[in-house]
Amino acid sequence: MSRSISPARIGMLAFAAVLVIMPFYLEAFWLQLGLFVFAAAIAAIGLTLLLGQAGMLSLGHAFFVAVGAYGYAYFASDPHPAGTDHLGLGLPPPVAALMAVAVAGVAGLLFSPIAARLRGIYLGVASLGLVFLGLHVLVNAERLTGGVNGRDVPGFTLPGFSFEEDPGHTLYVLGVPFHREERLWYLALAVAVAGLLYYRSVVRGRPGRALRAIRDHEVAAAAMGVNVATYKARAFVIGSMYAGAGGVLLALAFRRMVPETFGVALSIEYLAMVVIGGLGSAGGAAFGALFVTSLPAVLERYAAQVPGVAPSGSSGIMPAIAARFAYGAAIVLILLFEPGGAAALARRLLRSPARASPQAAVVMDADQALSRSSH
Amino acid sequence: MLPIPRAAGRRGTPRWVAIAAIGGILITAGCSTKASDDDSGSAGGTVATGPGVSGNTIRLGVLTDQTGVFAGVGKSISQGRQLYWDQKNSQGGVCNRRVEFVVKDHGYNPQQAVAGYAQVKDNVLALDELLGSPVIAALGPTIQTDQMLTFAASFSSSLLSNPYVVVTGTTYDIEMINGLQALIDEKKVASGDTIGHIFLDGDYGQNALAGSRAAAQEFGLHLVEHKITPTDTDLTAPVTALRSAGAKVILLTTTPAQAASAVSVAAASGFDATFLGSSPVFSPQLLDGPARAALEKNLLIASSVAPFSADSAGVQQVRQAFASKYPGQPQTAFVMYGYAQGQIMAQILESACRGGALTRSGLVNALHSLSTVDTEGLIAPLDYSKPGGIPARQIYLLQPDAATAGGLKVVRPLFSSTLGDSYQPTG
Repeated sequence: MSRSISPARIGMLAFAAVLVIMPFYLEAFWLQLGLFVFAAAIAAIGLTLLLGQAGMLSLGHAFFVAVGAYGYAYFASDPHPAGTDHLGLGLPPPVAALMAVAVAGVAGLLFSPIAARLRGIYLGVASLGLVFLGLHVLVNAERLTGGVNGRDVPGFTLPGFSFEEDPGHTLYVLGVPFHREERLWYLALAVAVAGLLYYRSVVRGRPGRALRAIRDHEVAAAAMGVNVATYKARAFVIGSMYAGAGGVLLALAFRRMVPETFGVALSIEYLAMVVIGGLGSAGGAAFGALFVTSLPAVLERYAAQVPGVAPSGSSGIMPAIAARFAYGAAIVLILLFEPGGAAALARRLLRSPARASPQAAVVMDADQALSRSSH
Repeated sequence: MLPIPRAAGRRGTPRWVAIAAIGGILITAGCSTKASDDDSGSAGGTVATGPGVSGNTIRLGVLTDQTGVFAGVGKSISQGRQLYWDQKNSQGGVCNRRVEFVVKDHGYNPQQAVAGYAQVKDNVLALDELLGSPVIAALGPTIQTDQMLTFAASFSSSLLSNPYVVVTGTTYDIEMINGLQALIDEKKVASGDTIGHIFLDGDYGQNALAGSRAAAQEFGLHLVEHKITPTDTDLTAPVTALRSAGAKVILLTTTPAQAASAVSVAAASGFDATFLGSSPVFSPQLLDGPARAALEKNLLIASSVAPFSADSAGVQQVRQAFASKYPGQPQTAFVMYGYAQGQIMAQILESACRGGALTRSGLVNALHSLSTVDTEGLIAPLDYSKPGGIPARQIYLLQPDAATAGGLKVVRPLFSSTLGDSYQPTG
């Protein structure tokens, strides 16, 4: 058709290219952090589908993440790995990962009758119960979860390629040694891209319109022929499957999972991600994941260089404490100055006068005003 | 959200420019500056050196909690470490090298700990401190792959199965065994009596419970077990149940606040049992609260780390150094612990230096060459010559006392028992 591409699309492709080459430049710290960010981003996209599109508040997201993470370990481990009495099925890792996502979806399906009947904060509190239930099971079902000491996560392999390091044999790509962080980076990137594309197809199509109709007015949506209970249940299943996929990646990034990871704090972090990113926006959720997951570690890393911060071990304000203050302040500032989150900020930046006609700008303002009043 | 309207007729950037730009980025990936590894260690002078070791420094990592629930503990340990290494480095360090620390905070969060570990792992020779049970569990396999010698700030026997994790003290199970032996010696409890054990669900509690089970069997005691969770704040129910069961001694493997609850509930109801706590049960802050009188009267603590007030030569020396460098700071046993860890690490490094290998594998060999580590009473004597074995088997028996510096006074100096000497953890 046309022989030109919009600058926005070029920006996106360049960003993707940067993500592709990052493992060639970044050290292990950034790659490890990146794996956590990808895992969090995928889970957060699931939550933004629930909360942003369907208006369903879930505080049980950590539970579904745990189902995915432990499910993968169970399906992919050999029975009784390394002298333990842990259970396992010994399936090939890609099959195990898909099964883990499916089990997370089934868990979501089992909860969906409740999810379809409760609204707002009531659903939030009901789903919170799942987290407590999950923690109890994680600690006590020792043969399945390893109990408090956690469970080792088997490495991911594709036929002919292992994402784990082979001792004594280093893989070099273009002269750069590829350890497990570098390899897993591409797996995580691929899953994240697939998650984004699927989210777009859901949201831009008929299901997305139905979900937004339910969010804005359930009765009106039902009157227009939207089967509210079914759509809510489907949204919950898909959201849980995203959480499960995020859990599989989180497990791979961790190498050993411990129950403490999957507490209420994790659910709250996901909530913070989608709110900071802007409700309903997948890109926003990914940004929120980047913000919430990496900021504490990055601030901690560089806080020692800020003047006035005392060195670790002395009695003044230590870098770690300064980093916590900065993190808290950053969240408050974002929500104070851009309540629509990063997605609204991005919309504002892209809407430059040179590129949009005055009428379009007016329409967009009206659109934003509508979407704000509906939250 | 509406799609952003594109002005008609405006020329976009030609497609080939975009493709060329992205292609250029991808091609330059090959010119990455990322250095290739040298795991094997290089020969620096006469000593082979590993990561974190240069001609005049040795870098060690510290993954601690400065912002989470154990921030106070982390701070005391770091003060002890600082006191030891300030002095050691001023005397010329180890192997003609200064010992320096790369400190990372994880706030008791396993994910932050894994990220922090990834940041330090290529720049440090070993981990001088890894604090927090979930953090230690999460990093276990990674430590093993990286052959990273790690001082775990925990006394659980379950850590011994990892050959790179070093426990610097007597394990929780033997604390309970020796403590019960002391109570039998003092005629507080005798064969045929009932004892109770209130323990936290988790590694810490399970490990102490293994000890009390072994001791109950050996001494002919009837053991009643009560499992609680970290969020339980009121221990009235288990204490009342143990009272009706006729328990003469109650073992506590809990948080400090829970121990205070249990002891004061018993005192308030006139239940005159003796309480014996695992080493993490005591915190000096307890003595500022209303439970003080009951704690001073009825609680005993089993610990392999000397209290701040102990009168051994090593402790006196640390106490003086602490008073001049950190006046007014909390005086806790963790200062002694941090200082003693410095002594142990220095011995490992010196032994590795003599062996000519300041490398990761050189450190592990050096560790197993240490059959007697004497910290002048700061920690029970340690023996690392048996890989996977319990390193120390003696404990102090301590009693809370608000009038003593650090809040704990010594009832019985370092001792062990027949069962404590022979006990082997199962599983």
